[in-house]
Amino acid sequence: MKRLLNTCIAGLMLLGLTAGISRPAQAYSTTWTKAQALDYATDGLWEKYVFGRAQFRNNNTWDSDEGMDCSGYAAKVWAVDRYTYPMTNYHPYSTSSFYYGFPYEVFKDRTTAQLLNAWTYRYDNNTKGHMGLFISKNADGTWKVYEARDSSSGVISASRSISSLISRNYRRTDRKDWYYS
Amino acid sequence: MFRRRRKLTRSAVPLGALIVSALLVLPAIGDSPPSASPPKTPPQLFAPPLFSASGQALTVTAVVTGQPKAVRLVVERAGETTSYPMEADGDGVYSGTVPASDVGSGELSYAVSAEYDRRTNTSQAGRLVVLDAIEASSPKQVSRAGEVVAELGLGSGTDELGVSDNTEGARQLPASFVVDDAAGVVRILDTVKARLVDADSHGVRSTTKLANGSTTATDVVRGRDGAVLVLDQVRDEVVEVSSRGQRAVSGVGARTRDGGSRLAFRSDTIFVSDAVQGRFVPLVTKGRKTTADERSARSSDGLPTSIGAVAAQVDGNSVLFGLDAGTNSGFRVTFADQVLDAAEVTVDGAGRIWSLVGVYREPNAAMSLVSVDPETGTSEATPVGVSVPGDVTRRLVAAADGVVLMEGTEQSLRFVRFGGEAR
Repeated sequence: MKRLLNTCIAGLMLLGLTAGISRPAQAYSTTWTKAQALDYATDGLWEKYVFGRAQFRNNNTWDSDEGMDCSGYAAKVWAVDRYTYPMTNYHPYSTSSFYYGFPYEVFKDRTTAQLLNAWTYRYDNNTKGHMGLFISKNADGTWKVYEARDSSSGVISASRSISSLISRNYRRTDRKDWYYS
Repeated sequence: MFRRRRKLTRSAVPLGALIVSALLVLPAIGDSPPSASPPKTPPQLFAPPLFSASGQALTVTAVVTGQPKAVRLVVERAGETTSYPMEADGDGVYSGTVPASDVGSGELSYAVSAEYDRRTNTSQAGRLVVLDAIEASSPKQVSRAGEVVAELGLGSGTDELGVSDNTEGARQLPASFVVDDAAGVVRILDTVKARLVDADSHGVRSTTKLANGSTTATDVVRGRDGAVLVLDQVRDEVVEVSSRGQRAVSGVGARTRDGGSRLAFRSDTIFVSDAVQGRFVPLVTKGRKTTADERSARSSDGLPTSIGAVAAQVDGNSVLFGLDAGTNSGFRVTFADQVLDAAEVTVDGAGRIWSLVGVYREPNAAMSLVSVDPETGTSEATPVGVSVPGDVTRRLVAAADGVVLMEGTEQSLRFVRFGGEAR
């Protein structure tokens, strides 16, 4: 009986180590729809920007215990590699991961976008990066985007020029197997 | 003693292992997503039309999430509402058409309404102006260097403009500027350093610290009697900066508007731009905050809110500029390449329309400074740099006769004047 218990504990430890340390880069919440993600993205607007974090209180106020950076916000909205509650601080990937390393769909056509596609660019000799999410197109051709922009702006809805993104050699990517309803 | 220690070891090891295991496993299991229900976020209008020509049908497209029972296009004209069915085109996109006979002339507003079980979500309202006339042109390609009216380095020095890099975020530059033709300076909103910088071709002439110390200001425009108005969306206030001092109006309702919204000022009223409707919404009038009715109504004080004095609508290889100058006039400028965007548009003191138009030349984008002369209906295009090396609210500002464009490298920003040639 005792041996069985010890075997179970060892198994649990192995599972924990595998899941916690080598997080699968391709993982995503399979039940998470674009409808849910858009609601979640909207909840995160007007909250505070903090580098390296990914947690927020949905109250349109910059609270001391919240903060998200651009990749933390995008990963939370996409539910990669898993869904987390707003105040769960979980930041699995950087812009570099989104730009280079993701097995998600990378679109060749960068002149248009679909709801919740990510745009990512790297700058300053590839030492820094920024990203956000496409929402919809404006009449003047710019795109309404959601992004955790910087410590002065916070998480905002804004308009971005596709011309400007292309000049920064941006990449447009999406999650796989993602549905609107 | 020995027996007690052995007992402790026997029970503590599995217990500790269990706790460690739980700590490792629990984060991997993760939080549970909320159950799917009708979405809270309303339909998103997609490239909402601002203008049409007389006799044209109106087609509206929107992205709708969830599983709506029905999606309708609701049109309101002079208090009368009519709805039209919208059809699913796949991937959450719905479209609906208002026949030309129902569009008529003048102005109407429209919205997309999605019905779910126990919930109806309605999009932000779009606004269509049926233009009285549209003149078409292809821009004459011209190459102008422009006149550099100021050039300042980026950095931490007093005579340099502030720049802020974020490892996982945007690079922040001076957000905006105004042109003071009388004083011969550009007045730059140096956001990172919480100040205004007056500069000319000799460098920095003077600086004015923002009294509130804010590093979150995003736009500046000229106000009354030489004053400037600074918009701070994070603090939800507009600050008037003049030789008499600084005065803030708080709670103006700009906090949850799109980041980087642009200010405008006419006849004691401060407006903010609305990207969806291509118009300006009054925030403060005669020192008091506007009412909801005032924000949704057409302005009667010199800054038409119907098409925001001037607005741009991109369609394929062309840009349609709508100008409200007594009558609603349209100027369609057609390019050889696909137009990506007309991110900025303004009217100078001489009445010319100016815009930064980006086109696609695979695999790159190219930017032109386009001017349209409403008197002659002709247009010109001058190649300019596609972007500045960071995020700004405004790159193009109208002057008395022409415009000033912000250009930049990693090390400096230049302010270059174009226009002013005789007609």
